[in-house]
Amino acid sequence: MSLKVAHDCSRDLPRMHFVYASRHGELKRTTDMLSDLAAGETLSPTAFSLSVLNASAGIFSMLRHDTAPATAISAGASTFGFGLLEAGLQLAAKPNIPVLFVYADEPAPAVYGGVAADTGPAHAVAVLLSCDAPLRIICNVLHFTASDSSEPQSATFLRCIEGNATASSTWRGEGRTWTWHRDGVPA
Amino acid sequence: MDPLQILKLELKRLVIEALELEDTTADDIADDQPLFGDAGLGLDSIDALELGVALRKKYQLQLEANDAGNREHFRTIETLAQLVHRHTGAA
Repeated sequence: MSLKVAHDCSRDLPRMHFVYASRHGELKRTTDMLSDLAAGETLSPTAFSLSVLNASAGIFSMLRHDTAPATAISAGASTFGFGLLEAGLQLAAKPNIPVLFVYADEPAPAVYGGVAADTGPAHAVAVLLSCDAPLRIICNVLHFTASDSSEPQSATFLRCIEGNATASSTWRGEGRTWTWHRDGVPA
Repeated sequence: MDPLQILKLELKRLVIEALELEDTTADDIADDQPLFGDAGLGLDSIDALELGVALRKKYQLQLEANDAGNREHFRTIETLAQLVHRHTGAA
């Protein structure tokens, strides 16, 4: 899922940096391995090799034969926002190198209880950031302690970029308010 | 079908299932096709470990990690079938 959106979004872009964000990463794989261990089964070497948060980022770089830097981010319910912020900062630091941002998540396995119910269903989003992008998004983050949003952050962001030229959308959670809004069109 | 043919088919299915080769069927794997490397099925060292686990679960086949013969045993479906056949025949 994350590889598909990453590939669709980057195509054959020769040079880019990569930011991968996921709250739970490969937690399902890890949980399956723990179940196997508890049952006295032999662990799957493949599952073991892919049981790190940024496994998708590693596979993506191998598929592309690309040794460019990749950053992995996990930040609770705000994972999408902080990941996108990191991607934006990397672009600001080196404006001539596009940054591919990929967010992928699925709910934590049931054994963890309702701890991460707000991840939403399994989904993946890819956003390519570059200086000549047709769309500019401004992000504001403020401290705030009112009631939390009930949807995943990624869904809030998508409403903004899919809206009209001045659309904005707001997500609240973990003591912060995130607002994204579209800012004209520097063609 | 003779037992060795049946075993080869079984091993092809085992390879496909254990390594989750989504777009591959047993017909796509020739008996003498190299399993590893770009010229063959393209399996890698992690796949070899995974296959070792699958063979142990299904045939109780114990492989020594540093056995120099492993490379030859794991070369093709043909060589793998001979290994399993010898093992299950002897058991």
